[in-house]
Amino acid sequence: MENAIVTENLTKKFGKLTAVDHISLNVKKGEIYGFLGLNGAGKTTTIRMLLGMISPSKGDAYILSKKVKSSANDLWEKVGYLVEIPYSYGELTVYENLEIYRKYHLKNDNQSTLRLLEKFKLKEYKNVKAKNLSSGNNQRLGIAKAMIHDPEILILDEPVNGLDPAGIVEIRQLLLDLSKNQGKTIFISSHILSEISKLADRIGIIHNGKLIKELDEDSLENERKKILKFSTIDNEKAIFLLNERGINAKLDNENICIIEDKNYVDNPEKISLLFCNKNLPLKILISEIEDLEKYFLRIIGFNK
Amino acid sequence: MKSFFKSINVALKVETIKTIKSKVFLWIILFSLFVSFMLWVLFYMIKNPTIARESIILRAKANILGSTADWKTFHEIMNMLIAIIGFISFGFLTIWIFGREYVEKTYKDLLALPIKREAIIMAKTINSFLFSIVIAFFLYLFSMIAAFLVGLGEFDSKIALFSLKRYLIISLMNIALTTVLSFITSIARSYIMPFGFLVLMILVSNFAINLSENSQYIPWAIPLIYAGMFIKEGLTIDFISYIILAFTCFLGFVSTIIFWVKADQR
Repeated sequence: MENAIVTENLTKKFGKLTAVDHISLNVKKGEIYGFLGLNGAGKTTTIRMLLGMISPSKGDAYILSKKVKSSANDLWEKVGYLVEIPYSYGELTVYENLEIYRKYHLKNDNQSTLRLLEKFKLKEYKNVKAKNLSSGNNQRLGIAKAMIHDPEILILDEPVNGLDPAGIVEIRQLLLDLSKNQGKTIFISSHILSEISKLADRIGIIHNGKLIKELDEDSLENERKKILKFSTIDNEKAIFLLNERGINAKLDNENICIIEDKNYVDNPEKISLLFCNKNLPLKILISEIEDLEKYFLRIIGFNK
Repeated sequence: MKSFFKSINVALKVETIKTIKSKVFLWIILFSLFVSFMLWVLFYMIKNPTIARESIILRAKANILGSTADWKTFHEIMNMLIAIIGFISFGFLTIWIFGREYVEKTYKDLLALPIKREAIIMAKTINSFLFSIVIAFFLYLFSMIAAFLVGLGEFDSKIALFSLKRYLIISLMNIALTTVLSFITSIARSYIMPFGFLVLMILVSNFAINLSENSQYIPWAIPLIYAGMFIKEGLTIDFISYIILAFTCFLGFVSTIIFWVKADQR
């Protein structure tokens, strides 16, 4: 599949601080790429370099095979973006704000403005001044602005910030529709990890300016830790029995047995059978897969 | 080249909408109205010295203007007004046009567009120039109405035209100097620093025209000298003054463009 976004050793230094350190990534056409990182990890700096807002100290970024630079204006006809919190002209209405960006994107008829007002449920706020909008509606306006010219690529920095749960689901469905049904490429950064896991085809994890991991759905599935949690009428005896068989098992703080052995994690019925035969009936048996948040924190070496 | 002009055309339309829809422009027009009203009050006091005597503050101000309420005095005052008030209000407008993008954090939305950043800066600059001319027009119009209302004797159209020409030249001189403010606003990304610079230039130029023999080469002093606001005898602007003014305008404009195109927009 053709690449939509490519970075080669993208680096940005601010004085002695290296905000982005040799990041090389590629986003394929039509996929949703989730960009994960803590605050200050370098997400927004990377996004600003992708949009030509700041120039890299080293390396290059390419969008649709064209080198990104501030003067590559024809490129921005194909890219829509939202960087950090969306801001609008407070004294202008929602409609006027959208119209300004439609005109700046050289689109001649206002059908796209009306369509987006409908799509983002902003029709009833059409004549409301942007300064009087709630943060959720401001966020919708920001995303609508990014989509006013029907771009091939969307670069979105924390797009669901400030939205209520229904709004988050709405935006998620919209982005999935854009990617799966309309073939749009979406590069999305978010600190809401569960959101990324529901959206992204691939995930890049950035920490201290470095891209430390790039995963697709399969490799994420393989890399996430899987454990089996169980409890019997005598947990200490159960651990003893497992250790006797050379199986690593331990008790957690809540006196629940935990086993990471792949053989048993993938086949929990074996545990059930084993303890039944030893007259240790099971009270609880849970198969648990590490969620993205725990995986992310483990990968970046964050210790609680 | 054709697409660049198209870009400027679009940017100019958009920037004009942004300015017209805001309250700032209205406030500046209201300020012009207030200044014209004060002019009416002062001429009224000059014409009615008995009332003026009862108000110490107004009498003092009326004395500053001279003792005759006639069209000659009016034209002289208008030139001085546009030299000082013009510089302040054109400056405010320019600082707001450029500074609002940073203060309202909307500048990010202007950086990755199919339209060149140069075209947007050019449109903003033209916008600032055009609306400054509108302000100068309203200040003159309101002041003329005030003058007719108070009654300044027989109106001489020849003198009025000559004076209007000077008024326009001083306006254009001050407008030319606003490009420096657009640059300072852009690098400061706020209103405070350019406002500080504006005040500083008013002070420096006022001191310079009264203390220095070479103040005709200080860009911000040139409109004041042209308006006749100096004490030193024989102080006049020359060809080099015009060159300095044009160069300052050009430098401010080009620096603003270079900053928007080349500097990191964090």
